Amino acid sequence: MSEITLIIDGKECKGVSGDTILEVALKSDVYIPTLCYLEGLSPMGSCRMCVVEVEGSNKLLTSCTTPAQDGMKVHTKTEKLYNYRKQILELLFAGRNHFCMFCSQSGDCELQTLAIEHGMDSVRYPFLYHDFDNDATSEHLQMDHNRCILCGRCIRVCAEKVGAHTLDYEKRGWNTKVISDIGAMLGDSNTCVNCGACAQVCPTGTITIREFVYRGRRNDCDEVVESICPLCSMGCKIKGYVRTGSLARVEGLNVTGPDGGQLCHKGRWWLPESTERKRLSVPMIREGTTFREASWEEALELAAGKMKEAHSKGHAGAIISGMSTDEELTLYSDVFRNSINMKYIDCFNGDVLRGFRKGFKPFIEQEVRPFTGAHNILESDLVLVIGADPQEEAPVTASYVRVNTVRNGGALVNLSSDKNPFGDIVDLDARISKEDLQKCIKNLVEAVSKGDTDKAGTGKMEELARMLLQASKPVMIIGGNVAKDPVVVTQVVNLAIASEGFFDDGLGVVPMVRSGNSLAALNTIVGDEPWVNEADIDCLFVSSTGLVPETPESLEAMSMSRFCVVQTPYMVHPLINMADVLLPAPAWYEKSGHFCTIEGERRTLRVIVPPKTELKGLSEVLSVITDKMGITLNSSDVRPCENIFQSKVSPDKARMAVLEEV
Amino acid sequence: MTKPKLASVWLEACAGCHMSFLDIDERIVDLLKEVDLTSTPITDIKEIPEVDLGVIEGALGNDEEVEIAEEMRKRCKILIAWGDCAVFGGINCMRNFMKKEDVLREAYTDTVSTVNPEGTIPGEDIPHLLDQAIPVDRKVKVDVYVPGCPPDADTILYVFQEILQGRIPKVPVDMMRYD
Amino acid sequence: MDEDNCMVDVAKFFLEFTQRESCGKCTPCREGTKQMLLLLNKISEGEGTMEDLQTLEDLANMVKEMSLCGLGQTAPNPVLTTLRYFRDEYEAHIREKKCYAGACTKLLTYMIDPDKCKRCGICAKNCPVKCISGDRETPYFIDQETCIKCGTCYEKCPFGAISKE
Repeated sequence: MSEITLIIDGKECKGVSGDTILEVALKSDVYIPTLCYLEGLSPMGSCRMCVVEVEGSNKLLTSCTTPAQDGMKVHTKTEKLYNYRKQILELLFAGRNHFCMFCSQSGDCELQTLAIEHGMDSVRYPFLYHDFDNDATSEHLQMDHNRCILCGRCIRVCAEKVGAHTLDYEKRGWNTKVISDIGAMLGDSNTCVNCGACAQVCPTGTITIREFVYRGRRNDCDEVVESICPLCSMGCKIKGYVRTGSLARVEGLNVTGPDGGQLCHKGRWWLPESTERKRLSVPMIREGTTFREASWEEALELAAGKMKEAHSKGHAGAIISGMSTDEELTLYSDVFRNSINMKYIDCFNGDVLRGFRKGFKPFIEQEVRPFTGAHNILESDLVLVIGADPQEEAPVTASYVRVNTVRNGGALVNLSSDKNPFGDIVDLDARISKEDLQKCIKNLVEAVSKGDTDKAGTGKMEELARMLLQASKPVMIIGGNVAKDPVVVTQVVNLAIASEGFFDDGLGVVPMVRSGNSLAALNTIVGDEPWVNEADIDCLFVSSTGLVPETPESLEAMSMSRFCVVQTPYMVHPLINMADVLLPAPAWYEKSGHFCTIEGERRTLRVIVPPKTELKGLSEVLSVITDKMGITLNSSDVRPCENIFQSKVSPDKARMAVLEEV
Repeated sequence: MTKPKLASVWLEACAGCHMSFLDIDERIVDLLKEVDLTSTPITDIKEIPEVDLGVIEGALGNDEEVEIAEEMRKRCKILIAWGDCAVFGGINCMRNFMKKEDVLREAYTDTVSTVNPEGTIPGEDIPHLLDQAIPVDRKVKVDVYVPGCPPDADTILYVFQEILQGRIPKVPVDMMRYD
Repeated sequence: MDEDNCMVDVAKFFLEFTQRESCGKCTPCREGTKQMLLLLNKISEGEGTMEDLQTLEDLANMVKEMSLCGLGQTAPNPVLTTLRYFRDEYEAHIREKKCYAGACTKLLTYMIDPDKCKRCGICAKNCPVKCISGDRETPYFIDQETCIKCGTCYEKCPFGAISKE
């Protein structure tokens, strides 16, 4: 990549060959007005606002699409350009309904900002007053076509980053309109995954989010904090907008990363909704069918007493949320494993995590990282989805799969006992029952490593073996349900090795580990054996973030245990119905810590809004409990992200392993 | 030297721009040392005399308003359009997405609480609706535009002060708003 | 092309085509050609002002230089060249509200020559707005206020008694 130098408005600006004029200008902080351009999306050059004069060319060129050449002399702000841009803005205002006084986006609208910047104080063209429709069929989004400037950002983000390609243009000329599917309303669309990425990139008030139109306007918010979404193991980066001390709006980061700054239907809608749930603010103790408020002293005394008594008989247990931070998991591990030496400790979804842990163990022992960052799906030429529904388990992974298949031309295969979550875009779809899955994968491993497709079986399996042999960088996605069988996990990793799915950071496997910090939970608190439905528990300690419903097994364990201490931020049912002591905890936006994500990075959760009431930090709560139990706190040297991110041995040196069935 | 005179009218408007003008609070005392207010809705003088500065708030929605605007233009040396309604047409333009006949019918016969069994649409002794509500500059020439809904008091004061110093101002970028 | 072609009408004809064919991707062509057409319509119906002429010219220059493709870049050419070489025709439409070529129908005045009128009444019978009055004794007469300039009477008169200018 050779360096090039341009003179933009008399200033020397450096870039690399392959940059467009606009990219070079942005690198040197030269401002050029834009509307349809968004960093991270393919440039379109349709709004004509970024047009510049280049010496030596008699045509005006759009800087967002024109490749920069070394030595170009560019003028971006001449009087002629200013007048032309103003005319374009006036044309846009006159063309559709751009009356700012009753628009919720006013103050946060790029069209309005540009018009004010260009001193537009009147519109010389007649307003056309055409009545385009206002699509309010979607649950969270509203699409008012009267405000659309046809910039195409929503179309491009939905096609290039989310992979759904729900939106596109209909008709032509002045009647052009952005529609969903083939003329459907947004709420009736079959392909829309309800992620809201279109609303995030819309420069005007065309696509707005109902939850945010009044309190959540960007310019009205006091500060922005970058954090991550704790819901699934992707750990998508978010921007939390704070207004008068509460979280008013949640958005993805910018569009430049591989995930395009998208959030999924859970992150975008559930996270802000979680700020409105009823909070648990003081400790509570059960009295019959209700609770009474208690002091921390009393509540911790009671909890510690019950734990001590239960532990002395070996009947104490703990279930911890996989959405706890690394630091919290380390504490739980130190206390419950190392200090109390509790046998019955586990995570929600413990079965899934146990399966992954056991299944990955032989490879971790080789010091090879048995999986790769989810974004590497975009570099793959074959994605094999095994018993997974990524759109449910880690939705942005599903976006990667769609983009890779539809735009990058990769192949997509679905192996499942009951469904095909990707519909028509799969190249091969096969039904394999749970019982047969182990053998099926084993046969595939044999077929691929020996180069003999017959060994895989017949029909679709033979076809799949052939595809795997041809693929140069396959990725296997293992669903949470099938991972409960660790032998399947090992075999899938073997398959990745056999078909040479080697990436820089690990083997071509993406595990659907569910909750935000499950990878760290794997290493810290997941129990060795399943006990949740079998053990006789006198006192159960439960830590739940209250963000997603608890698993049925955990709820059953809670109801079977004789005494239940629940640490949670919210008064959500049925969780609190099972509790005898309630200890308030900070909500996800009130704490900070680290998460180990399947994107292959350790990401940071930050405090967006500090807690409003006096909450005790986890270390304080646990140290009081251990104190009262008469137990000394032993720090362990557990590192939650150990073995997760360091692949000491190059992936292509990995050796296949055999896991004995238990 | 006599002080310049100012007249203002509000046409199809909510009066918010005039209220925003009054938000200059005590600075009106200094302003009145330099300008004479003649007929305005605030002073409630009905006859529009020959003035130096004229202000129109509101859009043109019926033929009476067009007449008043033309009258203002004749009698003012410098005409200022205050507010989004006068500059862009504003909220009044919401009715432009429908036909005039439908608008009148909805207002005079179709609303639930109206008792109008013969379906009479008044039109003789009251001003006639224009086919569309339009900004002021579609009928008369405007010299100074002050957008906003309403424009800030500071912006209005700035515009007056510039004119009193002999300049025809444009609202500067950091004072401009459309809402 | 001869003296019966109105250059404003010619520009309008070409612009109607390009505006209809515009793909709609870039703003100048999509919105600009539509607004130019509206301005040309306004001028050819006698409602134009001299400011409109300036606005039209500025807009045409902008669309020509800022459009994404050849359609937008050449769509304003008929407007620009007719403005350059036949500006007096535009000004006649605006200042005098007359179309000397006789093509812009809204600016035409249809008049019945009372000497040539044979009082047959065919014009009145065919007039869609019934603005022609007269009878066997009185020459027929067109009420200019109500006349919509459709040209039906002009075509129907068997004696050529109706003129348009």
